[in-house]
Amino acid sequence: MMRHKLAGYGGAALLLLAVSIIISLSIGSAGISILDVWGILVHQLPWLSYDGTAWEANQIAVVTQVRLSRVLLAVLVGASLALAGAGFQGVLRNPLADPYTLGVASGSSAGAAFIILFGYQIILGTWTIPLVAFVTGAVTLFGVLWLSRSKGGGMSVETLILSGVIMQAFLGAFVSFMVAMSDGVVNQILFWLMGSLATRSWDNVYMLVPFLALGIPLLLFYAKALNLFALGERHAAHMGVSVERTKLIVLIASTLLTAAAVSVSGVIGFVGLVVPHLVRLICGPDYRLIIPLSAIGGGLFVLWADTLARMALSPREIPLGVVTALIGAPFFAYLLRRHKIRNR
Amino acid sequence: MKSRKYGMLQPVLAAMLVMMLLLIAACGSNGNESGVELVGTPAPSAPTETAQSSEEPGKTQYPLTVTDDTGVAITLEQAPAAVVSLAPSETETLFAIGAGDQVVGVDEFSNYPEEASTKAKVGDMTTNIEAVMALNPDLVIASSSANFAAVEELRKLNVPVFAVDPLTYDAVVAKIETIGTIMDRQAAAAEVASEMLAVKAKVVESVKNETARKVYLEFSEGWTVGSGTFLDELVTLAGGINIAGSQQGWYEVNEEQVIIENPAFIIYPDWGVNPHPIAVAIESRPGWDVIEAVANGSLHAVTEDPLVRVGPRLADGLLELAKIIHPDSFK
Repeated sequence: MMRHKLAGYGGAALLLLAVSIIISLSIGSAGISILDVWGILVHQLPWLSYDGTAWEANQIAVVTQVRLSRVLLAVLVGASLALAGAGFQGVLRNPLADPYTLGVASGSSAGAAFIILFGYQIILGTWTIPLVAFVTGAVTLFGVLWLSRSKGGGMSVETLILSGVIMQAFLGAFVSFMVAMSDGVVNQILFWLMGSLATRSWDNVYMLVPFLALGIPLLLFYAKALNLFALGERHAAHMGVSVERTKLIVLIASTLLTAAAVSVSGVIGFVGLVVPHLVRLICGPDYRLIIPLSAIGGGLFVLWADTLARMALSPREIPLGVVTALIGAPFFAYLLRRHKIRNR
Repeated sequence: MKSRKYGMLQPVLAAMLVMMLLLIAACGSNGNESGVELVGTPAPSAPTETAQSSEEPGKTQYPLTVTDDTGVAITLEQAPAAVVSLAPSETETLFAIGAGDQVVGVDEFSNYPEEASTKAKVGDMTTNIEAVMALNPDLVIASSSANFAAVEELRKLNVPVFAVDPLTYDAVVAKIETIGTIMDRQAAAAEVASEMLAVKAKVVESVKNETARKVYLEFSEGWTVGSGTFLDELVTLAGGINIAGSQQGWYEVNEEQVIIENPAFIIYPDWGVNPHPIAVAIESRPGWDVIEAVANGSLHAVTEDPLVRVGPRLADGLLELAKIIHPDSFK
């Protein structure tokens, strides 16, 4: 039964994703025709010989270096965030939990803001901001875990969430202070906080792949345990789940996924919160479905949001985080409302 | 239960409504303000005419009434002896026309000329109104766009404020002459003005037979400068085509556009750091290596302040741009 559902929903979602990728690749502000785009892409295949005259170098660069990597990056970032959101919601049993609940985004932001404010962007090459954001994001999680650990070694969910809120408030104040201190015409920190996939590269794509390749199977492995978590931790323990270990591993895996995504794209809100809920509304509360479908759904969501971000006011870019919230919130409100009315 | 829920909802909605109204009001007054600016722009010529009609040429007759770019008229009984400048461009203007001694306070960013940094500081983007009042100025010169809130605040306190917002090179020249009239420094201001016009004429003359070259400006990482800005005007005067000119103002550009436009020059601000974050970023962006400017190593750092401050040094910025875009014309 579950397998049939997964094959049905999963197949449909993957098909939708494939169609979306094809559409998104075909449009861009460079104004290259669809035929040219696909001609260029097809001729990148190693077994097709290409004499190098049909297209200008600029067009080839736009399609293969800029657009293709950006489209794939959008899918990967979305998948990471939604997957992390599903993980957090499962473990924390809180509908408001999202990848940023435990303060990862604030930690990453504080690190990135510091680097931008003091002009250290290239101290380790172009990787400086992603690296620092990743490290400070991960360190924040350990800070939160340390804050919320009890004498017995366990962590209560309420304490975890509160610790996350405390961290967020503290680091958020830090970030605000740094924003206030910076005086450029364009406030780079603010724009990092709103998220963007502009001017990223293939390297960022390669960086996210291992996190997802490990994260998806790991979270799937714990999906059954997360189903039992829904009954309450004590109940899950009675059913043979090693509660503390599951909690820790899922939290760490979700956090690393979040930190990796945030370090590449900046803070993109709403994906991790909304996508798992959407999946839950559509196909029920089984985490064996929610986890893989969230990954695909997150990829779809961010792909479309980013396509809008780069096309809506082309050649202007809109911050990606703005788009995800602007389309995510009303859509979510609509689904929630419909669901409530149906269940009345 | 239901009534309690709505009881909570009401103040929240009311607060949101008030916030929205405030927002609309703010937008409205902004729009209105810029409308007045357009009307007010020709105003600077008026006081000059008044001065010309006086019997002693080059000497300002007081009381003098001038209207600024916000459409507000102020009357000065005598030449201002204690002036506070809220914008680096106005500080530079005051010093350039030899009125530096009358300056008693400047904003934090006023770092040119060097004497400006010895003056009392009155805040940065947010002006410290108390600090201004403590200096007891008989005139405050401000940028109506950058110091909008401070201008309003100071006017409420009956401090004479002359708020400027020149939108073109020629408007900057006119503004400098007006400030010369206000400060009774007409001769020095005329000299600065004619120098600026001479530089412009020289540049325009030198590049007139050259083919315009495509230029991409990146003044903050990922951000370019579109039309309606001084940088756009200066690039055009210097014989360049700003590839971002299709859009207004500063904006984050889609890189596909830059690669397809294939600019011959990339210009970024010199921040005194090496390696420069923008140059490093541009060179490492995938796909950008096919751009003519990147392939030829035609990335140029320019001195930032003269190009973004609407003061007398705009001429230096123009010359620097022209020398980059058409080096052969300036040998």
